[in-house]
Amino acid sequence: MYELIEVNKPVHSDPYVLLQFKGEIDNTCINEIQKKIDKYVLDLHVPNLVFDLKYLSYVNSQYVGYLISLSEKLLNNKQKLVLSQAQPQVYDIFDNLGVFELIEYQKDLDVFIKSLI
Amino acid sequence: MQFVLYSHRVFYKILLLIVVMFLPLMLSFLEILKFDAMFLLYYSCIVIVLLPFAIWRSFVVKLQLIANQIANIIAKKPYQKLPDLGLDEYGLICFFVNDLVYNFENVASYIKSGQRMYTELTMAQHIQENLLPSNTLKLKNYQFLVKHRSADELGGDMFNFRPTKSGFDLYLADATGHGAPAALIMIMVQTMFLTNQSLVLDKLIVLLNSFLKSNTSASMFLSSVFMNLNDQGKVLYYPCGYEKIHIFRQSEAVVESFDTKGVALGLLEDISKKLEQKSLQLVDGDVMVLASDGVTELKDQNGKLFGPTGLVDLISKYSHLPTVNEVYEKIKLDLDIYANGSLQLDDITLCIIKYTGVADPNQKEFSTSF
Repeated sequence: MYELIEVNKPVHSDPYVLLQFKGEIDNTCINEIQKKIDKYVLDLHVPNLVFDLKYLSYVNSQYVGYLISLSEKLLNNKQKLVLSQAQPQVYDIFDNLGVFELIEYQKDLDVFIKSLI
Repeated sequence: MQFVLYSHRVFYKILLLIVVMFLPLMLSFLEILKFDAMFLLYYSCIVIVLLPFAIWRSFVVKLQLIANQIANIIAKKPYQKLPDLGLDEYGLICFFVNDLVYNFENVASYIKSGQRMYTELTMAQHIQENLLPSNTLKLKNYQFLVKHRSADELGGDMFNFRPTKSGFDLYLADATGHGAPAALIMIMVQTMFLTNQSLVLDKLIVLLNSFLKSNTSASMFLSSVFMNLNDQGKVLYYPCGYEKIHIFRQSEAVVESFDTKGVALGLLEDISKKLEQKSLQLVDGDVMVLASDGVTELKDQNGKLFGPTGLVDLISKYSHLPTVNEVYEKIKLDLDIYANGSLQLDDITLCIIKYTGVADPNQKEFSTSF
């Protein structure tokens, strides 16, 4: 089971939008998440899409693959996907696959957000 | 479509006919009007003929039309679409039967197409199974076993091996997700492995990476590990994001786990600068275990993940057994007990390699079926 929370309602002038994930992301919910995020991103005009992974305890490879394609899509629109605050086991999954070669990771979310404002 | 209930109006019409039929008789009986006996006779005859004709035309013909087509459906004869009989009850029945038949035809078409897809999927499954080795190698200084089971008809887990001058090469890989997309990646990779037998591992990895990057979508990648094991127990490996390598050290009875951190294939244009060769040494009796994430992602009835620690516990518990097949049988049994019939969400590959140092009678080929 997972939960997706929109932390800040973005307005056009905002430098970022923050989404927070909770729970586990596996084969049973990956399609639903993709649909939700794709729909959300469609009208997104802010330059940074930040995913707070603090309360996410598990992700599968399909989710990783989805994030990589999302990041590529955003980069084409001159936007950026940033991951932050992953729990050690989730961080290991990303790190093990070399995902941070492609997607920016910020350990300290507050510091990163302050740097944007 | 708005239908009008019509029965009560028909009833009133029949009532009116009956009244018309008996009106001259009643008027004569009440002595309001006097009719000739012959007129009454003719009148009655006409009404007696007209009344059944009106009923036949209003009810029987329409019912017969509908009943004929229903009889055709029951007898599995060709169905002819019922005509539009207006907006009354007959029209409603015709509309309902036509709609029912149309929907059944659609369902039948879906079933046929599902059967065709299942047949094609089964054929694809056989092709994919044939690409994976059906048996392991009989090796000089190793007992070597790989077992594999897909979550669906088609899977994204893969492995292969080839003998070398002083040992063997082995790779295990897991394409993103499972099912048909992952299976297509698997077929590409296996084909490249089989058609590039002369390439050394690092060159093969670079080639595979470049091929996958340019021929698959951004969301598809291959977590993998490529290794060469020589007759002296030395393991050279190239980690590309596969699950950890676990080694049961026989002398100390402990499990050591080695990271396989690297860049999964298909993520970067060129992996050559990121590719790293690592090594480790096995001594007599050591057991090396590799498992795809399908093992650690196994869930029990409550949805609790088996997890990496669960796997390490099993390796620690059973690796002292004399043959890799016995180790596998025990691990499989415990995994089955853990899952207790829960749905397998991802493909499972389990590879167990025991370094024996010398040839022993337990060295043989094993089937790769889980």
